[in-house]
Amino acid sequence: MLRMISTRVATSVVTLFLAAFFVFFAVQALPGDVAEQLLGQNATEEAVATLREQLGLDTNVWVRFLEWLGNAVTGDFGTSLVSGASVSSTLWTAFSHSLLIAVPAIVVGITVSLLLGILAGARRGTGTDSGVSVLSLIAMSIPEFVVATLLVLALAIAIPVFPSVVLEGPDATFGDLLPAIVLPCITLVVAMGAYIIRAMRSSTIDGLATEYATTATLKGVPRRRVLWRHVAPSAVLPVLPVVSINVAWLLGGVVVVESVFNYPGLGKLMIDSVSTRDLPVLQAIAVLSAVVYVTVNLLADLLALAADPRQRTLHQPRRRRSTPTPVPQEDLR
Amino acid sequence: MSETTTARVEGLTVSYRAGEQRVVVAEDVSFQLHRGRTLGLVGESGSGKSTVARTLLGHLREGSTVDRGTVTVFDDDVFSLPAERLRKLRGGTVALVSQNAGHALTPSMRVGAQIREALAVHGLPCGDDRIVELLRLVRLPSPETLGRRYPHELSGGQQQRVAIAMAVATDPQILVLDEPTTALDVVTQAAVLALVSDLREQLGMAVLIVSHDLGVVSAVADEVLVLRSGREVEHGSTQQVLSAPREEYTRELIAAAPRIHGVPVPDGRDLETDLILRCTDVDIRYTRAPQLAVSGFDLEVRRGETVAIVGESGSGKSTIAAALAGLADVERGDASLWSADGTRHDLLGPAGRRPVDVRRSVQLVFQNADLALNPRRTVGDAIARPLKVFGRAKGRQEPRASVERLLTEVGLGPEFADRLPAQLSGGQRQRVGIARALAAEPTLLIADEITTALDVSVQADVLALLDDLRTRRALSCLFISHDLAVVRSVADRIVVMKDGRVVESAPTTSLFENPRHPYTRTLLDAVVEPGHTELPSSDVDARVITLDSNAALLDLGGGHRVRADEGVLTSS
Repeated sequence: MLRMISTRVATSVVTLFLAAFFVFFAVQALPGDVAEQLLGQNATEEAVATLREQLGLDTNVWVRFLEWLGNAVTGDFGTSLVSGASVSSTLWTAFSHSLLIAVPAIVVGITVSLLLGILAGARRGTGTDSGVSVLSLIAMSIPEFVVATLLVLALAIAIPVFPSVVLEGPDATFGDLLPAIVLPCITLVVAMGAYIIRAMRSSTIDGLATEYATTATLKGVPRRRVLWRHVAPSAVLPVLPVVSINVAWLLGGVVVVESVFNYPGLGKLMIDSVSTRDLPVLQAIAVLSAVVYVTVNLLADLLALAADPRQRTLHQPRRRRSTPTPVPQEDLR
Repeated sequence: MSETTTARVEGLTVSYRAGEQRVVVAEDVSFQLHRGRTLGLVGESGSGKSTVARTLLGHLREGSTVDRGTVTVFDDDVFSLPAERLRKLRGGTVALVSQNAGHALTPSMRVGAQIREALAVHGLPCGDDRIVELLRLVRLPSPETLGRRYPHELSGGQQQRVAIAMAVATDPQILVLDEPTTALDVVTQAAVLALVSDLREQLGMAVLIVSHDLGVVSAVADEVLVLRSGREVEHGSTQQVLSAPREEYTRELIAAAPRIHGVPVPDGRDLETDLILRCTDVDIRYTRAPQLAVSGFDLEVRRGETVAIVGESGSGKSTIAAALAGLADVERGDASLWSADGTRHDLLGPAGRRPVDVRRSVQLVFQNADLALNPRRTVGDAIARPLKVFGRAKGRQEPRASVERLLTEVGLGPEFADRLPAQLSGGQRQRVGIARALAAEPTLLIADEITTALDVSVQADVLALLDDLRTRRALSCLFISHDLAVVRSVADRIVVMKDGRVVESAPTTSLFENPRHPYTRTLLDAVVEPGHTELPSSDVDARVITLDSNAALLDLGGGHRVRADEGVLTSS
């Protein structure tokens, strides 16, 4: 058990290292270097050379990679080429703003969609089921910027309850942003919920058709309890990967949604950095997204371990086919 | 209704809708259950026996309806009970044990919690001591701690015992057992059946046991009801139905059951002497497993000979099949295969690295034919594949002709070539599996539990086919099974295995006449067959038979060899 967890954690660390490696060298492989880009086309050779020296660009690329990696591990991503401010502080501000919309969206979105999925599956073929299924199909097929725009039309312009865009920049306070997070949150919930609902619905239907669900019903367990105690824990397992992909996508900066609402989060920071060619910031964002993806997937794996006792023994050698597990000998002797 | 009657089924007709038609699952079935007595419901798959049994719990498969008739438990008509009373009836008055406990227990709940729940939902005391008491009642090992385990941590027999504990927890008046032993090996089956008998006496329940095997039913039932296509064929006391069956169908069912008691031992055949397979001192270990799956395995197979490997699940018998087919790694030892022209081949490497000819020479038939055939390919395609891969038939016409010949040979007929596996019955699919293996013209055919998933009547046909093939084709066959009674009619020699070691190896005749190893005798005792009602005790599967790891195989002459463990030399 412990060995399995440590293996997964170790794999995650290796994945992160590889991600950092590729990000760094992809940026190095771009034509021209930072110094040339900063000074523009009319810069003199000497000026470029001086700046290279200042930025340390003339040292060996491997040395720079290790240095950058070492600093990155301690949370230092260098300074922004545009503003001169520390990359990590810019990044954390933007990330915390993103979290402000992502976390409520995740919590509400996952809970509501899992419940709706279970409900639709349990009431298969009824009005509830068709209602939920049709709505989630619609939500699936509309791009999130349309959803965002429609929400703005409805809840910011027709009935002005929430602000349509954020007017404050990156240094907005928590209080400033609070009323503005509602619409982006709803957009995100709609965008990610549909997939989870559909996965959970079919998984619940399969779960209710299993022999153990029938057995539980026939030993007199009330239907509701069969659903929650017997079916749901196993039915959620195949949905976990869907959930983790959605969560990672959401945390990794929902570029479109943040742009629509002019929300000063990670996605917006990324777009701004691309347009100003602020490479250290871009590198940092890429690494941060990798961290988020890897962590979320790791969490999903560990959750699956917790929910499914069978997976904990999966490291045992696979039998050619599923014969019943042999009797533990010590009990018989 | 007499005093002891607990349930009455009258004129029950159940059907479901398939497209425009209504398919009748059960028609005009009537019977009664009495306190302290057991009724056996016997029939092949598709006879509607499970459907009928489950109506006692007011349960129908989705889409099915009761067209006529009533099911009355005590004074209640089950199908007109309000929801809450029906829930109380299920598990409270009538309890069910279903076929495969591995599927019937919820994988995410500890077994103790599942038993506790059965008590709690009926408002009964469900303290730890009650759980332990129940686990002890069904004779599970270490009842104090077993409740903390998950279903997948138990063996098949233990899972079925948990399912029985769960069913009898509420002291139900009626216990319905739906094929309770079909997924178990013989020794465990005997133990579970004995347990059911004991519990019926102890708790005074009425028992309904459903099975395709008359042997199973006759071991525990007082009364037998034979069903065919949803209709009653014969109904009477077990004694009377078995000894003087009125209907031809019942006679067929009785004849199909493999027997070992009171039938003559088959005579040995004279065989050619050239050896085609020899294994010496083979050790097999699954990757990183602490114990060997098979150790020191010796085997010789001659041309035209059928050798059966018999043992319980976990005895390593299927591992040997996998190793010889190149699907499991051999740690140590030698295995050689001789082809018809006398060339020797090494049989140890993985299948991917074997020369084509060696791969062709060893063919497997799998236990579960519905999983072993590609559902999207026609039967003809499946059989033509080895013909093409091994270059046995070229061009367009030739494979087709060979496929038709093979299909006829396994008793199906050319018209089956265009069908899909889903359109065939279990027995027909298994015949296709055999035809596919034969298509490669193997030197050695490995049949891995090929009749385990089949009804007794179908099993008899498949066994007859194998017997026919071995005489007609001079085929060498390794037949793997958990049941000595099954291999009796097809095997020339039998190898009995336990815990990865050979405990006894003898020609079929001497093994049945003079079984020497205590484990072989346990296996023989555990065979249930129509009319043989003495069961071994209900803890027979936990009986200690220790294998001495240093014991050697003793040669008793005439090819009879036995492992010199405790209890071998002291008795006859």
